[in-house]
Amino acid sequence: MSMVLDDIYSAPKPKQDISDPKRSMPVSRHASAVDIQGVDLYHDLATPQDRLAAISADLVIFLPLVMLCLAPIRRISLENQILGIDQDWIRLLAVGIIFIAAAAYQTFSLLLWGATPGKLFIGLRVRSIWNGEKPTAMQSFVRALLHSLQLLLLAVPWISLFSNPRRRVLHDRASDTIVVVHSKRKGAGPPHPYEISMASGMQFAVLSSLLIFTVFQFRGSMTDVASGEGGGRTTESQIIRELESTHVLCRVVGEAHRDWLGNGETKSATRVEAALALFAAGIIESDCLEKEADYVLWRKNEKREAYLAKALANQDNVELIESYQKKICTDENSSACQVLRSEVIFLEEPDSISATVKRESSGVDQYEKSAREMFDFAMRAGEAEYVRVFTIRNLFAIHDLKRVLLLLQKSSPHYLLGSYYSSIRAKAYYLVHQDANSMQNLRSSLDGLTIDQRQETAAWFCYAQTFRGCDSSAKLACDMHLQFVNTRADSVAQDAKSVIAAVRAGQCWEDEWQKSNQTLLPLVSQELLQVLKSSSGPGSNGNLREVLESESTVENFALRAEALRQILAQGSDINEQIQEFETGSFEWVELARLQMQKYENDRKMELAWNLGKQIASVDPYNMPVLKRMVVLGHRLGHINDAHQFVKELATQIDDSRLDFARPTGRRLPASLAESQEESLGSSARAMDVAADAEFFEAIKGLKP
Amino acid sequence: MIVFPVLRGLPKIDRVPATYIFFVVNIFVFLLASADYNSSQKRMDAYLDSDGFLQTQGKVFSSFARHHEQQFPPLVVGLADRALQGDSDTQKLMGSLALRSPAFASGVSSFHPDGDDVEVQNWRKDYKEILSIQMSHPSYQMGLSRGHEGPINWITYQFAHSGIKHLFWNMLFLLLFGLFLESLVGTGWLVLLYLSSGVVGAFVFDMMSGFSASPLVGASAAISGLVGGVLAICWGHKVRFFYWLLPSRGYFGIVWLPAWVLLIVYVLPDLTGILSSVPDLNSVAYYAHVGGTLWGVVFGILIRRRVLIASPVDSVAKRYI
Repeated sequence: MSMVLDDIYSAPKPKQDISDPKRSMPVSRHASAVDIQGVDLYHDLATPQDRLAAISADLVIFLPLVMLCLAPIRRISLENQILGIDQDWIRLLAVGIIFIAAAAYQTFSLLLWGATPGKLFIGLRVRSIWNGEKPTAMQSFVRALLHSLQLLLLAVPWISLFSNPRRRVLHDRASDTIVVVHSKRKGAGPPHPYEISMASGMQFAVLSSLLIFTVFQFRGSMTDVASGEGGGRTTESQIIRELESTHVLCRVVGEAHRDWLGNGETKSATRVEAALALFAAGIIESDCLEKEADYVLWRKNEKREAYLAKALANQDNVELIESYQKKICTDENSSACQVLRSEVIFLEEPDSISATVKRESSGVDQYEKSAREMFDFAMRAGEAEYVRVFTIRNLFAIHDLKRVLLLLQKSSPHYLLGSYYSSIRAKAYYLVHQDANSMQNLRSSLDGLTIDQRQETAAWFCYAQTFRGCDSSAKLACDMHLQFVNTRADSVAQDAKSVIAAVRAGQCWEDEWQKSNQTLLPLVSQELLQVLKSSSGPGSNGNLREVLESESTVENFALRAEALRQILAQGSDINEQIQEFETGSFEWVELARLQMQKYENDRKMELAWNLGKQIASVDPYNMPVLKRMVVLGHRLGHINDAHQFVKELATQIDDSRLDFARPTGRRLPASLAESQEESLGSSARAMDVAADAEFFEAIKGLKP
Repeated sequence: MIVFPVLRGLPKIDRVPATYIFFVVNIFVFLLASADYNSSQKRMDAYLDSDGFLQTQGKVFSSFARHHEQQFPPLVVGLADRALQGDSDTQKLMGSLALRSPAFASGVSSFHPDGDDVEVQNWRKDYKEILSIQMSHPSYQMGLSRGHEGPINWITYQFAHSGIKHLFWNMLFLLLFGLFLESLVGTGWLVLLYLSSGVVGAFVFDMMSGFSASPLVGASAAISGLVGGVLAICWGHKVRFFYWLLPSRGYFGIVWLPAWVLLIVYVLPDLTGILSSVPDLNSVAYYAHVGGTLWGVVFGILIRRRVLIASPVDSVAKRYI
C-alpha cells in the first residue's frame, strides 16, 4: 500500500513551474521509463477515452443485468409512488443493490480475466504494480469496492485520471493496480502539466460544491424532521389534515370548521356548511368549494349541502344548476333548496339593466321577494350559518340595509366570517349615514380580512366616500386604497370602481396619488380612460355623452355614474339619466342628491322638493337630505310634509333596533344640536354651516 | 452505448420475399388506417383531455372498484381510496385505467356509484359517446381486446400500430432479424414462425394478464419470435453487430459477437419489464413479447438441425450479414 502515498510525491514528478512552456514538459514523451513491473510509463498507460469507452461497453452488459435485479424493487417503488407512500428506504435499498452488483461485477471479472468485459472489448487490462500480473483476489475486491464507492460521489474522483502522473485513479492506487493497454493498442503517457493543473482545479471545485450541496441538503432534511409529525394515519381527522397538507382539501375551510366546532351555536355544522359560508363571504373560490363537496359526495355521505356546493361551484352552467336544483329541492323547505333558489335569482346582478327591465315589465321585484323570504328564513333560530351569509350578501345587493343590519345581529362571528360581517356592517352603516359606527366596524374588520377582501373593502370605501367629497374620513379609506394601487395595480385596474376611486382620490390629494396613478392608468380599459380624461378639462361634455350612449358601457354603472357626475359638475341637469339606475342604489341616491343640490342652486325649488321626496322615500336614513327637505318644506309652504320629515329624523335617531342612536341624542329638536356631531359623523361636518343655520331656522319656523 | 445486429447489405427480394412483404403490409395497413385512426383518436382525445370527463370517470371507476374489491388488485383499490378522497391526479389516472378494465366496461351500465348523481349522469352521456367512437376506431377493430377477440383479430392485431414511432421501431427490428433469419431458414419457416409467434405472444398475454378493454396491437410479439428463433439457431455463432460507445472515432463500428448477446440486450429488458411494471398500469405488453420470444426459441430448437444441415450458419451469416 505504500505506493498509494508514494505516488503523489515520487518521480517522475512534473516540474511545478508551468509558466515556461519549454521547461514545463517533464520528460520527453518518447523516452522510455519503467518503474512498475513490465509497464512502459510513456506508452502503456490506458488513455482516458479508452477507459471511458470501456465503462460504456460495460454498461451494455451490466445495465440489463442490474435492471433485472432491481425490477421487483422498481415495481414496489412505482406502486408506492402512485399510492403516495413515503419510500426513502426503497431508494436506499436500490442504491445498495446497485452498489453490491457493481462491486461483484468488477471483482469477479477482474479475478477471472484481469479486466472487465468492457475493458477486454476495448483492449485494456488491469495489472498489479508489483508483478505486472492479473490482480489477486484481495486486489480485485478492494479495487471493485472503491470503484463503486466513488459512484456515490458521482464519480468525481475519477477526474484524477487527468492529474495522476500514472493516470491511476483512487481505486487503482488503493489496490496497487494500474490500467494498461493490451497488445498493439496505442497507449498514453503521463498527463501534461496543464492537464494536471486543470484537472486538479476541477476536481477541487466539483468536490467542494458537492460538499456544500450535501450540507445544505442535510440541514434541510433536519428541519423537515423537526417539523414533521409522527404517527400513522388512523382517524378521520388525521386523514383530513393529511389531505389539507397536500392541497386536496382546503386548509382554510378546515381551520374555519375546527373553529366552529368549538363554539356552541355552530357545534353541529358540517365541513361543507363551513365551506359554503366562506364561499358566500368570498373567502374561498369555487374550486375549493367543489373539492369539499366531492369529498363528501363520493364517500357515501350524501348531503343536500354538498349538492348545493356543487351547484354553486358550477354557476356558469345553467343546465347543471337545474339538474342540481331538482336533486336538492326534493325537500322544498330545506335550507339548501331555499338558498339555491335565491342564488339562481341573484345569478343576474340585481342592479343590471336586464334585471331592471324584467322587474319593470313584470311588475314584480323577484330580488326583493326572494331576499325577504330568505331573510325570514334566516332569522329562524337554529338556522345554518351559511344561510345567513348568503342572505346578508343578497340583501346588501338590493340595498335593504335595515334587514342586513338586523340579520348581522343574529349571526355568529366565527373565524374569518367575523371580519366579513364587520366589513358588511361597516358598509351598511355607511350607507345609512352612520359614519362613526361605520368607521368603528371597518377598523375592527381589517385585520381578519383576506387580502382580496381588504382590497375590495378599501376600494369600496374610497369610491363611496369620494363620491361625497374629499373629507378626512375619505382620506383614511383612500390611503388604504392607495397601498393596493401601489402593490396590486394589475388587479385594481380590472375593477372600474377601484380605478374611479383612485382617480377621484388623485383629484382630492394630488401629491400622494400622482405617481401611483401614473402606473395604474396605463393598465385601464379605453372607455374608462375616456371618462376619466374628460373629467380633467371643461367643455368635454360631448365626450361624456358619447360614453353614455356607447353600447359597451351599458352595464358599467360605476363608469356611467362617474360620467353623469362629471356632466352635472359641468352644469347640465341629469335628472332623466339618473332614472336608468336602480332606484335606491348607492349611485342613484348620490347622483339624485347632487342633482337636488343643483336644482336648489338654480332656484328650481319645486324640482328639488320632488326629487328630495323621492330620495327620502328610498333612503329614509339620509339625514342631509331629510334636513334639506325640512328647510325646503318650510320655504315652499309644504308645512305638513315638513313636519313629517322632522318626525322621520326623530324616529331615525331613535331607532334603537339598528343601534343608530348614541346615548346623548334621543329627542328632536332640543338635543339634535349635541347629537349631530356624533351620529351624523363626517358627512354632517362636511355640510355647509349656512345650511345648518337654515335648518335650525326652519325647525324654529315649523314650531306650532 | 448501443449494440445491435446489422446487415452488410440488403438481400434481394427473391431470396427473402416474406420479410419484405411483412414490412410492406405493415406500412400499408398503417397508412390505410391512419385517416380513420386520427379522426377517431381526435374525437376520443377531446373527451380524455377535458379534465372533467376523466376525473368523473376516475371517481366512478374508483367507486366501482371499492364495490368490487375482489375483482381488482390491492393497488387499484388503494388508488380508488385516494381518488375518492379527492386527489385530482389519482382521479385522472383512475379515469384512464377505467378504459382498460373489462370488468368496468361490462358492469358500469348497471352500477350506481355513491357520488354526485348529476355529475355521473352527465358523464354517462359522454361515456356512451366514447364507446361508440371505439366501435369505429381501427385499433379496436383490428386489435385484440375484450369483446374484440375473434379469430381474425389474432392475425390482424399483428399488423396494426398505434403510432409512427411504434411502427418505426417494429419495422427496424423486423428488417434486422427478419432478413437474417429468412435467409437462414427459408421463407416458409419464417412466415410460420412470424405469424405463430404473434398468436402465441397474444395467447400468453391473455393467459397471464388477460385482454383488457383497450386493444393489444403491434408486430412486437411476432418480431420477438424472430429474435427467439435467431437465439436458438445461432446461439454460439458469431453475428455481425454494430456498436456505438462514444461519439468519437474508433469507438463505434462493426464487431462479431456471439448471438447470445441478444439475450442480454433484447430479451432481459422484456423480463425486467414484466417484473418491474405494475400490472394494470403499464402500457407495454411485455408478456406478449416474452411469450413470442419463448415460442421463437422452441420453434428454433425444433427446426435447428434441419436448418443447420441445409445451410451452415456461418457461411450464410457471412454472405448476407
